[in-house]
Amino acid sequence: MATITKQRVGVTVNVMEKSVTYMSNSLFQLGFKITKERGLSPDYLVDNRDILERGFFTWLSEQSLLSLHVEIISPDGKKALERWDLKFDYSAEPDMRVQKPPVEEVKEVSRRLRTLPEGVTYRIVVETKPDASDIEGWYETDFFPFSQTNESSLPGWGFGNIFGKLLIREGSW
Amino acid sequence: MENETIRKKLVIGMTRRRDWEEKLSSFLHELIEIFKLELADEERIFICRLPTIFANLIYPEILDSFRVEFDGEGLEIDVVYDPEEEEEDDLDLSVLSVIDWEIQSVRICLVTDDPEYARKIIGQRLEEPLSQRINVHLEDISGPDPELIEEEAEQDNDAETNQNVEEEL
Repeated sequence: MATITKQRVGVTVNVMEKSVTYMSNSLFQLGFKITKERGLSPDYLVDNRDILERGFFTWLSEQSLLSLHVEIISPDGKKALERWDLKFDYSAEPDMRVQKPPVEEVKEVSRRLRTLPEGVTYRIVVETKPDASDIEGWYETDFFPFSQTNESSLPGWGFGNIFGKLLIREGSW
Repeated sequence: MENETIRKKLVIGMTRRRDWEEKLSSFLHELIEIFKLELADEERIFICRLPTIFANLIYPEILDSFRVEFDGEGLEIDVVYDPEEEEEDDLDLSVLSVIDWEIQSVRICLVTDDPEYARKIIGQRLEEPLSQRINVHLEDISGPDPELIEEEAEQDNDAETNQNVEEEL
């Protein structure tokens, strides 16, 4: 009996680890896809890769990552023009089906969105549970003012214990 | 060794970036050892940085494969993003153990379906000048434009026809 319990724990840990890795990798995949399709430079993702990775792995592992946002900021740096909001669900019972991130859908949606003005920038903002670990390189911030005009959602994705949903929020400018 | 491309594979699946980098790093260092290349400092630094460059193309899944060309031979490593359940890495280089001479030059081609974006991601990191012996290039997975190939074939046929006509005359 004890052996069976140990085996079950072993399998669960392994699935959880894979869930975290799969979600973390897909966050980068989606981040690159979103920035590419919106005509933004990938430099932010490349230059901050280690910091982003540390945050994703730590907070997904402790299940304290609630949402992640790609915030596209106006050239004057005063408001957000568009937001890609990724929300996470954690389940105790793993779902072993691999659901791929909606990269093709990101491309489709991006075609319908207004072309962003020259000089916009972007950043990654996350919302975590209050007891989430502090990670070096991440700092407290507030969202930029944002006036939403439209919203659309894309199919969910994930593996094991962690699944995500993606919402695209268009703003006015 | 016969003059043909040897195929290997790197499995990504649900593994972490540090795993890819470690595997790539070991692979490249083993290659350098097999090739008996005495690296200059800047070459050594460049080789050490290559796995990081590769990883930046693996995250967005735009690195389809990479090819190592040396002294007329080729080694192509497919990057498998969605492996079958039991599929594993195949980075074994024992097939190269027959090399008992110093390789003169090594060309690494990163094969991608999106060279324009790949160039944006790697930017200056790849195009910094390196030695004559080691070079890295981006290559479009689609290869040469099929229409161009067709045009060239037509031109070849025309040339052949003309030649036949001339011979008959």
